[in-house]
Amino acid sequence: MSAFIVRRILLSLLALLLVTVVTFTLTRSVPGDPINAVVSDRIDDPAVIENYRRKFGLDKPLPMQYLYYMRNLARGDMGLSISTSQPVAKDLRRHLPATLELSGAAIIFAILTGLPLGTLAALNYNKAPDALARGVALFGASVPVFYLALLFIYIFSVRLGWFPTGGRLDAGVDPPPFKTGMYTVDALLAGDFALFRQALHHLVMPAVVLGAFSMGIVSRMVRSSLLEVMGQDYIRTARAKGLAESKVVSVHAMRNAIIPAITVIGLLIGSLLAGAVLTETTFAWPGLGRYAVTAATKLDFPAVIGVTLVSATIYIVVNLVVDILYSVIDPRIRQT
Amino acid sequence: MTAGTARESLTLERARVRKERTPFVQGIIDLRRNKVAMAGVIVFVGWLVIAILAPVIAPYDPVEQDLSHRLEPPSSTHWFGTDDLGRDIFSRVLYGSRISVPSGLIVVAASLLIGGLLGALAGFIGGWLDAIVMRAADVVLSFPSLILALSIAAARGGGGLSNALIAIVIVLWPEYARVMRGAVLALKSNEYVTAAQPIGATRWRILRAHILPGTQAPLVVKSTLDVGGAIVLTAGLSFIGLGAVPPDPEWGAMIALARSKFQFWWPGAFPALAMISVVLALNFIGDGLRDALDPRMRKR
Repeated sequence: MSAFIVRRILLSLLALLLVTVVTFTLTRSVPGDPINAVVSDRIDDPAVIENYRRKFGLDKPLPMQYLYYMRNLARGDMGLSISTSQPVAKDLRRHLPATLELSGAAIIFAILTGLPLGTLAALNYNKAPDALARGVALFGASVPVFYLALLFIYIFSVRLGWFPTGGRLDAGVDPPPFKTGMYTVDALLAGDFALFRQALHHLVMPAVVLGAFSMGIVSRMVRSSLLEVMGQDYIRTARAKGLAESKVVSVHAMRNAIIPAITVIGLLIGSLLAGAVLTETTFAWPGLGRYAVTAATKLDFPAVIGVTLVSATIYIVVNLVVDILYSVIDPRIRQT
Repeated sequence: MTAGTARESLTLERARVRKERTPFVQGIIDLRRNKVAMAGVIVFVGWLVIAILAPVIAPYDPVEQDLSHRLEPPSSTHWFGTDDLGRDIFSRVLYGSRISVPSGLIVVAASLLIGGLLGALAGFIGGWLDAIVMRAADVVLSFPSLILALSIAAARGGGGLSNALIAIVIVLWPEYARVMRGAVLALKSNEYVTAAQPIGATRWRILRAHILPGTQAPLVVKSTLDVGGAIVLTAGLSFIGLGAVPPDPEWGAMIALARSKFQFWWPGAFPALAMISVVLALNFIGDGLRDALDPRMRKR
């Protein structure tokens, strides 16, 4: 058990190390002077630039530059951003909670809808609910998330007026006192229910759009693993001893069917972070994705590379946690 | 049995073997019986025809502006309406297929070539080459695809379709390397492959004649399914301003223009529908191919 976890952690550390090699390579492939990758070219104070040139060892040979890069990363220094003239690390900390809130809500939506949909499909194999679930999954997989966002804004904001078109709160409203940076959570912690409702009202549409693709994947996964489990002997035994079908499904089958679905959620984090880039851009949601897009269009390399590094780190860490959880739930996995 | 008749039956045997179709060809033939997949083929071929004939079919110049007819809803003169610069959306959607469809095909072909080659060598030769190729693949796969593509496109100097396409190939090749390596490893230990060595087949011949043909099916299925994904990814990069440059009528860029005009449904809806129809068609073809090429499915 612990040997598996230790090995898994070591592999993740190796992956993180390789990720920094990639981001370092990216910083060295930007056009022009490599200083552009740590201090944006629109910051022209020679003292600041000289300071960063020294700090990142840009006058040293390449392998040394990598060591300097790592040392600065360890100190949380990713250079200066043009969009804000602030240290990138500070910007990332400011934008990360919004993305975590959005992705978290999207995952919750995907599970709350995908799980019942997949179950319904499996229990009605090849009947109408199964076809419906297949259609929903196909829809989620084939409608580009950035168009889905526009469609939702058109229908639910412009035509029906049910939801705001974007942002995290109404214009001019102050955010709750900073605890986690997630407005819904912070508003609850501050006991401000009106603000909580407003934050939630802004969160619903982006989260549903972002979660639509994941919902399809979750429902397909639950469907196929539940179908497999339902064919097993112990299910027949449970039925034979006279258990109600609802009990057979909820108590006996679901427990085993849910396990493979958990690993999928780890993999979905990658597509959620990628989808967040497009969703946040459309809904004016001030998270990492929107920050990255603004930065990329201004060729603000330090910021773009910072987001790339952080999103890869999140992806690796989440998958590490999922794998460990999986090994706790299903002991068979540890032997492989 | 005399020597003559033995030789004769051997020749007959060879003739029979030669006539028998490979499972791959048989699978493609079986696909014709799958109605959903054939619908996909028809739609996709339709788009290819539209892409080729766009200059002939399109009623207007896709980049010609007509500022006196801005944001007009669909009508008999402008079937899909006009955009914020008065350009005809129907013509732009038709022309868009000349950018989006080839983009998807090129990206997947390049990823298949690079990833397939590296994966085949990794699986066949093994050792340090395998370790290097697969670690490289792992590390690329530990980035969310669009974010890595975004930063590669930015590092290559920002906008421009070719930057976007290169970025997407860098993001996609590892999956092909993995599938190819897996298929090669699975085939390598087969007896007919190990038997080829003592009868004098060179390593290159073993790889080319005995192993690679067996890897066709999974790679063909994956590539078909991925063309749609590549089209959406390219459109996504264009949507955020890192792909096709205005006034090019790329579908993602057209939807991006609709972003600032979300009170109007038509500038975004038609390019989106075009993209969805291509992606769905490719999904149907890919699923059909998977059913047809997977021997386990065929027995049913």
